Amino acid sequence: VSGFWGLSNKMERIKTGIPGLDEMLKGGIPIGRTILVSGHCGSGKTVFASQFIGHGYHRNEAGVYVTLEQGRDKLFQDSKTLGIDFKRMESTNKVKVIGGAIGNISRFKFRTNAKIDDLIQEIKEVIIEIKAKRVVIDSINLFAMLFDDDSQRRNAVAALVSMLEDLKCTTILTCEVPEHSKQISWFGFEDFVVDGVIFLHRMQNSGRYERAISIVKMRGVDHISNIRAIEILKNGITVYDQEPDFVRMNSLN
Amino acid sequence: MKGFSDENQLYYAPAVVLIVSVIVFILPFSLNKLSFSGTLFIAGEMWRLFTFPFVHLGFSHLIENIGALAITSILARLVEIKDTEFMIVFMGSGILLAVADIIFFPAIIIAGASLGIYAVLGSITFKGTSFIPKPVLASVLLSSIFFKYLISMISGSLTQNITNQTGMHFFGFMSGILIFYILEKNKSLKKVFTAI
Repeated sequence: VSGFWGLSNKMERIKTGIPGLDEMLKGGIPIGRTILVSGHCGSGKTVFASQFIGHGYHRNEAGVYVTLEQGRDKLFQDSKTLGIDFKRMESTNKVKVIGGAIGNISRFKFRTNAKIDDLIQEIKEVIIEIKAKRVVIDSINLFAMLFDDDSQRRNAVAALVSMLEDLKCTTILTCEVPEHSKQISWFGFEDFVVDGVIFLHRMQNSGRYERAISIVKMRGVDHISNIRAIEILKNGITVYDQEPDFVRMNSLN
Repeated sequence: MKGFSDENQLYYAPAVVLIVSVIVFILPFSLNKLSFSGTLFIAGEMWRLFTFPFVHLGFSHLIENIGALAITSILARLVEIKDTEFMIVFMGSGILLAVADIIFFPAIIIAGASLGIYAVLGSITFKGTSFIPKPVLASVLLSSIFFKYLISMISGSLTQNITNQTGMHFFGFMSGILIFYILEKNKSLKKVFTAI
């Protein structure tokens, strides 16, 4: 357990709704902060993000989910298997899912000649419309890929985070990391603009994949930094109070 | 907070107002030939509609407005009011007041950038409500309009001139809200995420 510079836990928190994670975070994510949830393909980032919005809905906190990974229909179908019914949530106007598959978004962006501020303003309008407190951008690396060069990508991500902070939204930015790399973000700058980074591990161990979670950074609040085993069950991600096997094996070796 | 599109871009609108105001101030005939009066406008001196926001009655008037312009520009930049919006609001409020002048007080002469500055403050109030709580923003900005009026009332030096000035500033503030509201309503946002 990290002492984390003796920081207190007085900061107001928002619960992620992921069993075990809020205990690791000693109460949840600080309200109004932006957190990067990164991991390799198939590590559970979208499940994490869906649970975050779904939990908010049950606590009467409006949420906006911006999908760039997959179309709305696919997201709705996949989430429903985890008991998160986006369609029903949208019908109450407490949750709004916008976006679609990256190919479609790129095409629309090209056709409309939309610029950084058009995209950000569009997201902002939806947030203001439903007074969202929770926001998910799934994923930030695909959002950044909508822009042509590195400078534009940095500006776009910084401007997006700035807008979300101004609106006092608690935000999850999911981020894919290249397979077999030790990076915690795709472009290498996403983790600098956020207040916290949660990493979802997916490791091969004795012929099967094991999942785990760790809090890489969480500015200003105390948290448990040990790596913990996770499983994706029928209700989503569950965090266990133990290290995953691949960590224990390495320790024994 | 920085502008979304290009954080290094120069904010030219306030600089244009500043430079033109200084040039106009140096001109010896500015007050007689460039200030606005409904009577003279009807008589054919139409340029006055566009020149009066840059005319100042004296050096202190000019300095006062340059100071206000600097503060307003910083605020406008913070809430991301663009150069074109700044100029439309600044000039638009002048045109609205000129119309009111022609209809109701054609004999009154109007000059100065303060009307436009208050109009921009009105726009900041309108746009800033997504960043700053409405009651806080509105009370701070409205109190700035009536500040001179209140001080004059307290000191017992309330004159018709101060009352007219306060009324004009209030008109500017309200016209700024109105113009910016119309601009925002007609802005065609390029939709991507919600259009799919």
